Amino acid sequence: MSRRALDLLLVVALAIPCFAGDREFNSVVSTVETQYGVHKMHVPLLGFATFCLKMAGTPGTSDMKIAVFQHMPRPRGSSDLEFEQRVTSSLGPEWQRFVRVRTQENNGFTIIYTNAGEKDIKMMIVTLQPDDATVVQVKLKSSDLKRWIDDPEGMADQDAHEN
Amino acid sequence: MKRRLTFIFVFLVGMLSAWLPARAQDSSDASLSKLEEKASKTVDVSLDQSMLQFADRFLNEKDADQAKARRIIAKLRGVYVHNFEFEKDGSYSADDLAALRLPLKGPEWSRIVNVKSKHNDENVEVYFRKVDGKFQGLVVIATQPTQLTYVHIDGEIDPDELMQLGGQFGIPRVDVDHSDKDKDKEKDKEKDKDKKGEDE
Repeated sequence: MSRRALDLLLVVALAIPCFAGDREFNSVVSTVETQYGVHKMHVPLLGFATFCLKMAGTPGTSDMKIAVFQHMPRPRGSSDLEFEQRVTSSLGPEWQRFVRVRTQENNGFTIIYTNAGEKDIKMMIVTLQPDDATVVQVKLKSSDLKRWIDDPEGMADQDAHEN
Repeated sequence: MKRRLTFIFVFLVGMLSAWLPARAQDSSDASLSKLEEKASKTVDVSLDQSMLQFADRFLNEKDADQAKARRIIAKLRGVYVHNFEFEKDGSYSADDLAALRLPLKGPEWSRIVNVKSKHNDENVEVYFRKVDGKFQGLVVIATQPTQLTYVHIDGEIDPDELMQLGGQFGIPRVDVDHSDKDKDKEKDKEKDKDKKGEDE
């Protein structure tokens, strides 16, 4: 009985980081849904595509989540900064706002948050357009990123040969 | 009792010194928000200490320039770049700029560079924050008629090393154009030659 309880505890402990990653992504998705009264679009086979991406071992990327919103009512002059504050508080202090771009001409608003760890960096990219929005979370391995930055041509050649 | 009062005094002074830079940051945040309302495009890049440490891993110690950048980054607490683009001239006022400069009027801050270019109406101001004889921060305000960039580098800085950060992390490179000076020198030389010719 105690062995089974330990096994269960181990499984739960291993699953916590996955749930944590999902929780952060889901909280941002939920913030978009609440703020603009929309639901994320169902993209056919998106789950399968991200699974394939994971299995194929895309260099540098170890995890990716996408949510797309369409026909989203977002009038010009809407409270983007209030939205940003909600996203920031839903993510928690370990996430830092890295880049924010706001354009009045096309009513665009993009925020990139990062959560830099020892071995990898997680990025949350939130893009709002006048009629749609996208939330993307990616996890990038720092070792692979470094190799890509140091030798982009070499890494591209290596990747082409492997595939 | 006296010891307790001394402790309270030291504590309050400590709190105040921590509060003042924070207040300065708050007021510049408000000024930046005002500018954002007027801008047609705003780009903010924030690199806090954890991001700087992460970026540090990508710099190659074997490369001389990158090794220098690593040494600078190691002492920094954050790099914040705000860039505003405006649709037409005069979109931001002198009052907006004055509000931006207001926190830099404190005793720790001093303006060390002010470059005005009549050629393209560009103006670059560099302010340093000096605490206990050490440079602890820097603000660059670069303005053009339809563009304004505000850079805040927080942390221990060696001004000589700092120029090497220009062009990286979104920090504008400040190139000093000597071409006008060179032209003036050449003109002076020609004048001297002409004078000598006339004398002969």
